[in-house]
Amino acid sequence: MSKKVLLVVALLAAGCGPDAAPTADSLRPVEREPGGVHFSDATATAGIDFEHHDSVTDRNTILETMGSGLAWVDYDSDGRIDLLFIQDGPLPPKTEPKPTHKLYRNLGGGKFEDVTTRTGLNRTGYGQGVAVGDYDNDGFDDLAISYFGKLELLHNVADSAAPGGRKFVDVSAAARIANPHWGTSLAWGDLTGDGKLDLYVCNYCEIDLERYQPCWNEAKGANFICPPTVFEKVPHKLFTNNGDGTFTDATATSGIAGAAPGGGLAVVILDLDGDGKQDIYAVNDLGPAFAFQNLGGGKFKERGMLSGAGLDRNGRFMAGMGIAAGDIDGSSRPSLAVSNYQDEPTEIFLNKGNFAFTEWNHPSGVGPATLRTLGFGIELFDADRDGHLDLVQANGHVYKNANLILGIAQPQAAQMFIGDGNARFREITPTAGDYFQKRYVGRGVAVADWDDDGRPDLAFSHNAGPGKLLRNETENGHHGLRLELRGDGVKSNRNAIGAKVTIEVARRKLTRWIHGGGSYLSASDRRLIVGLGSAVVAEKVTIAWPSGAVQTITNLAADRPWLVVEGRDPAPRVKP
Amino acid sequence: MARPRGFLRFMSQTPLVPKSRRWRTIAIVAALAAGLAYPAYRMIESWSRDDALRMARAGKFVEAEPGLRAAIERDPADAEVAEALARGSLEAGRNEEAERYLELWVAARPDRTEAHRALFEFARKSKNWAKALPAGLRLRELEPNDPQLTRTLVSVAFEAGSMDVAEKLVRELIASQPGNPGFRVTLASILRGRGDGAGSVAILDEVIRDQPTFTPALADRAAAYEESGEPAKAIPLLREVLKSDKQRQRSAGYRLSIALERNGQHDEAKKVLDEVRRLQDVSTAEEAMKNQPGDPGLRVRLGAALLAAGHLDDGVRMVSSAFGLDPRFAPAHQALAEHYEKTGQPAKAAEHRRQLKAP
Repeated sequence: MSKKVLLVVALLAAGCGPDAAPTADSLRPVEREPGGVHFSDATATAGIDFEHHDSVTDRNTILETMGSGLAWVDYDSDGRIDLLFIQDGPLPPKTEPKPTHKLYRNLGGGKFEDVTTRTGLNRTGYGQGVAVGDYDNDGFDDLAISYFGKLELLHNVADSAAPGGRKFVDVSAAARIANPHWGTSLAWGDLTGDGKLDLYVCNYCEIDLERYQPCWNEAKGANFICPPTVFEKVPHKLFTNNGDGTFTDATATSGIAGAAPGGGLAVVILDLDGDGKQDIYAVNDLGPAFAFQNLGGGKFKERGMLSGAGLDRNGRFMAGMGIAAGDIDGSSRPSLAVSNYQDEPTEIFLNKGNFAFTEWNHPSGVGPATLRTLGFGIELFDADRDGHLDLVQANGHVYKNANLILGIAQPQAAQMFIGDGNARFREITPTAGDYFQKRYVGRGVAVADWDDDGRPDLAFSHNAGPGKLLRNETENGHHGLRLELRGDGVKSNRNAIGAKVTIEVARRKLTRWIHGGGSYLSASDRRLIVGLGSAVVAEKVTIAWPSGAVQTITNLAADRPWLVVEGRDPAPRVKP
Repeated sequence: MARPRGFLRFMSQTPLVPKSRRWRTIAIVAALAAGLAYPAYRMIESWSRDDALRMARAGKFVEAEPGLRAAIERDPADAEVAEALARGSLEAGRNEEAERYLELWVAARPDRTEAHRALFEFARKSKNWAKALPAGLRLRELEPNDPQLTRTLVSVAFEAGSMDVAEKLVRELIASQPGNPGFRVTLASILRGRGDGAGSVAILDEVIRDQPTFTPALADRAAAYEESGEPAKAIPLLREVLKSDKQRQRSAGYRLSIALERNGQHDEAKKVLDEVRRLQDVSTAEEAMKNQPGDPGLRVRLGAALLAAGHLDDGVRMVSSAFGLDPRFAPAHQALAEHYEKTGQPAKAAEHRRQLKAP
């Protein structure tokens, strides 16, 4: 009789079966902090069923580990934010059916409906990033989607047969938008100051899938994902908006091409130096980050390294994956957070003004806590509505065979940090909710109040995994100011990307921006939720519009959605 | 209906046993068998555990592992088995499993330094500060007279953000060695981490006064000047670090370039930064080469990138290294010929052109 049979007999005789050994991925019960930030997983109940395609091959190409992004977009402008997941697809030699992106229309009541096909988003390709922007100022958000080998501009047009009366049409060729390279994150922003949104596209590296040479780990006898440094790079791209539905490739004329090409993964567009012009900050994987200072007239000067936000503290390249921007220290200047590789800290660059940054990862508390993770998507938002920005980061290693090569699992838990308003953060991952106890191959993360309860929620994309939708269930009695800004569509872009909002409440001054880009391959909702703590009224709200106009509003009530159209009094945002 | 087999069939059919008693006999025999089987099984288990441990200790972890796993499932408090599994998993580079078994080992032997040390070292190397700190503190309780451990614990507490613990420990070290500038610079970092910038600067100034060329203090003081918007004061300190500390060439160079830029010395800032960039580009290229060591094309591409960035000597060296893999590698000759033509070295260019045409 074999040992196995004996074991079974003995266990049965003893009246017990073997207990399942706990696995590393098993869920630990979450102890909820009273009043603490807490998210619940609403994916299934909301009707979100997106699965990111697993494009893994035995060659372990660098492409298959990147994942794809997601975007919050109110495509039908009904006031309810909809959710778009970007999809990649099978890599040669595989010829299986190509999966498509998925758009979920927010029906209200916590439910979403898959409207992908009827809105024209059943598109295929090796999708990477997405940016949301109303480039023609017609009041409806358009989409730019990057792929491996192409770039699409999808125009939002009326169609009475489509859900919400809108659908997307590919106008890339007519708009002269093209990028035959490997585009990743993209961002809309009015970089020329003409009231129209321009488009910045990060390019990662050039790979030839037909002749791809895997990197080999001799000690482990296995191939692994090559670093980007073994591949050629091309410049990032800048398309300026001509205002007639076409764009001009301004990569060379703007000075963008003058920077040594880098493996771009993330970009944010906002006014870094407070001169009223939109600057560009883009991070490159194992290369210096770009900080393009806007000189006006469509010209930029690359000042990344000399700004102090180009390299890490030790003068080394970052593996910059994602970017978040916001006032984390009460300075009314946007500081930067850059997610980084395993064993490298998420970098925090405090904005000291005059295009000068100071590295602050360790004192912030974020640096040491992120050494054990490989960060991608990252966002600053006020999860507990106390008026201080908090930080969320999606994590997941790039090696599918990380267990074999490094002895660690590829999936990693996302992390959540609470900010104190003085550039210091406290990690609360263990109590932030069940999602944060599970491990995924995290890539994109984006923020939006999808259930319209005034608390900012989250959505995540995972490489070769499910899209996830989280609901913010923080109960702490705090209030929030909910603002949707709409530019005049002439001097300011209708999305008001580039607007700076200063809120004065209870002797505090809070500063927020509507910026382009951010996170990794993803787009958060532009609507602002500004935590007011226990206050129920924002005493003074000052909006510096992209046009340069400044508008002041007094005594704006918390906890209701406000629509502010440039130059007009705020009005409650009414939903159908 | 399936027919009974073997012993049961025999018992149920044999005429030697009256039918009425057959099932009772079967039941008794079965009970006896079960009664014997369990102790026998436990004995086999015990042999199996001991065998597995012997194999593990003889370095045959792969063969030992199934037995060890079975043993730990039966008894998670089996310290010897937990240790063997932890050591084997560590050796095999399976860190997640190693962590689990290290924790079992520590739980089974709460008073053994060896187990705590193994968990502490593992957590520290994994940069799991939250786990390393309590493990290290417990280890220190068991081994209070280990100054090296205290030193390591200071940095672990610092990384874990437990500044109060870090400060307490480093002050103990300072009390034992008051003249050690490294400890005082560490205290300054901790105070900065606690938000006491003034306290931090006071200590750094004191260290610099005592030892004007102690580069860690100079570098940190320069950083404090930068943070307070005084780049001019940071510049001489960083120049000194750059001059005398070979370990800090990149970091000091980078920060010097930033300080120079902020002080309006743009040309020098660019010059210093170019050297930082060169160091970084070269090290990145060398690192990249390790990923595909047998690819001469990669060497040429990386070398060409260095040449394009103006790092001429490094670029030529990198491109030429392709000949070590393929002495007649045409793209390398092509790249070098172009480089020598561009830099006004026609004779060398011609030689590479000749090699290109050679059959």
